[in-house]
Amino acid sequence: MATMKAVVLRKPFEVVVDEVERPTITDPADVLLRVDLTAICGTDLHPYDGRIELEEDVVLGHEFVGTVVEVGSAVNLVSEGDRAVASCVVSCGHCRNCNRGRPGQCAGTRIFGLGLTFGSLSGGQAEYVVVPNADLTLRKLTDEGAGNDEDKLFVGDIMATGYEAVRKVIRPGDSVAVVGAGPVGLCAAMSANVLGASRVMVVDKVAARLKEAEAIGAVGIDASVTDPTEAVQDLTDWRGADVVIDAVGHPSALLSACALVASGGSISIPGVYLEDSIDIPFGDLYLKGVSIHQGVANIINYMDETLALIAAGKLDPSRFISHRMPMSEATEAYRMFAEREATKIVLDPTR
Amino acid sequence: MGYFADANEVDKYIGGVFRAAAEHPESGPKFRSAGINLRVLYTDPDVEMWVLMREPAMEVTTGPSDETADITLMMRSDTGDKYWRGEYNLAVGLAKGEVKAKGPVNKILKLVPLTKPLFPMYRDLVADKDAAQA
Ligand SMILES: NC(=O)c1ccc[n+]([C@@H]2O[C@H](COP(=O)([O-])OP(=O)(O)OC[C@H]3O[C@@H](n4cnc5c(N)ncnc54)[C@H](O)[C@@H]3O)[C@@H](O)[C@H]2O)c1
Ligand SMILES: [Zn+2]
Ligand SMILES: [Zn+2]
Repeated sequence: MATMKAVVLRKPFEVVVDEVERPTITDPADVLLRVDLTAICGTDLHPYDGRIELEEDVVLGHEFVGTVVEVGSAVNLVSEGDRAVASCVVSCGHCRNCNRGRPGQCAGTRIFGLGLTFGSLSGGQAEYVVVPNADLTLRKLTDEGAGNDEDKLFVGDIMATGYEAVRKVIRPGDSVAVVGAGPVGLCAAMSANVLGASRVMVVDKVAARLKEAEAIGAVGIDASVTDPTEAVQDLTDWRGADVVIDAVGHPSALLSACALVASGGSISIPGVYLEDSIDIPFGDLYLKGVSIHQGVANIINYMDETLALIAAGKLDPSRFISHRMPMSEATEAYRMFAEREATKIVLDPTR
Repeated sequence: MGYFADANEVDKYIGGVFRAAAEHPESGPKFRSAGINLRVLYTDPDVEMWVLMREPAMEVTTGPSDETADITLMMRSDTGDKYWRGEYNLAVGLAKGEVKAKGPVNKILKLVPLTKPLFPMYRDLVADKDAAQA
């Protein structure tokens, strides 16, 4: 049995780097990748802190780029030796929702590194990973244009997610408020710049993250110092923001989003919610005619757009990487990311 | 020149109509049960007015407050005067940007109709001042 090193979640708060069985191709549409770079995502924190319950010993990770080492017989778009980035969400490509352009709501949605519930796909924080439906899930990387593999790594998750959240609701000239300056929120803010926002405001309490937002031209609003509602109202002539992105996934953030949104505006929610119910000011939202968009991101719909914008030098999400660490230090990396000591961590599986 | 000579007059007349409302047998209980903290920023003359609609008594104060506002309105003091006389269309004012409002729209909708029975009371309050100016 061939083995490999991988980041394993034994149980909540217990992340170890262990020798596990190396996954193999089982379907003609599969590709086996040798992982070159992999990142820790806010979504990994949900099983890490037990908010999403997984079975024991799951190989984590759903953000990765790698080199193709083996291709199934039905794969046409990549070959051995190609570098490629994978969508973190794997869809079937032919169910009703896939046909309606909603791969995030595919009847058979699978997500790498999230256990049985999401299709038992072994995660990308490992030396090797098997990518199903590879022609649909992977995008081949080239060296043309601006951007490097660290930028393209994020097209499989946070970049496409943040971009979609803004892209499906914005009109050029809109004001955009992003709640949460985590990697997803920062990618949303960066996308808003590219998609024609007149002003971008980012709310968080973590100073280092707000600094990243300000560095790309957004107004940072520190919720531990100022009331974000007042701040956003003041910046928008009391209208509120036309577009509000909840890039957190906590009821406090959703309530904040409801208070920030302008009449006729939209709330777009990439943040993950699992609550049975949440009290929100529904009458106010109704009377303001606010639209709400949410759900697992339709990553594959936006990978080509974000890759093109990276190549054009207009998106450069690698700037948000605060730490590059050997994968062998994953235990410490998870602790740092969970404590918000790091904004974004990229792991090197070869070390 | 505007209708009000100074901030004290804004408090006396517009603050006064809210105080009178608190005593009103029909409107008083409705205002108190609304449970809304209203802040109005009048300009020219400038007055920050707080109306705390709650049990057991409605409170009307001017100047900054430590309370949090459910609804904040901003308008010229003269606009406030016209409103309370029943001569100002608030919806049109909002559309023109003469009046600015923030806070949950459903609460604003709850509040506005409560003010109508107070228009005659306001006119009574300002009758003497009107007569003196005539
Ligand atoms: N929809 C999707 O497909 C998809 C894809 C990727 C990530 N996500 C989700 O997006 C969310 C964000 O991911 P991330 O990687 O940026 O995570 P993160 O945990 O690093 O970032 C969250 C940020 O929100 C801030 N925050 C928390 N409560 C707040 C509040 N009330 N107001 C303002 N800021 C607040 C935190 O300080 C932190 O900086 C997570 O829920 C993640 O699961 C969803
Ligand atoms: Zn993710
Ligand atoms: Zn499908």
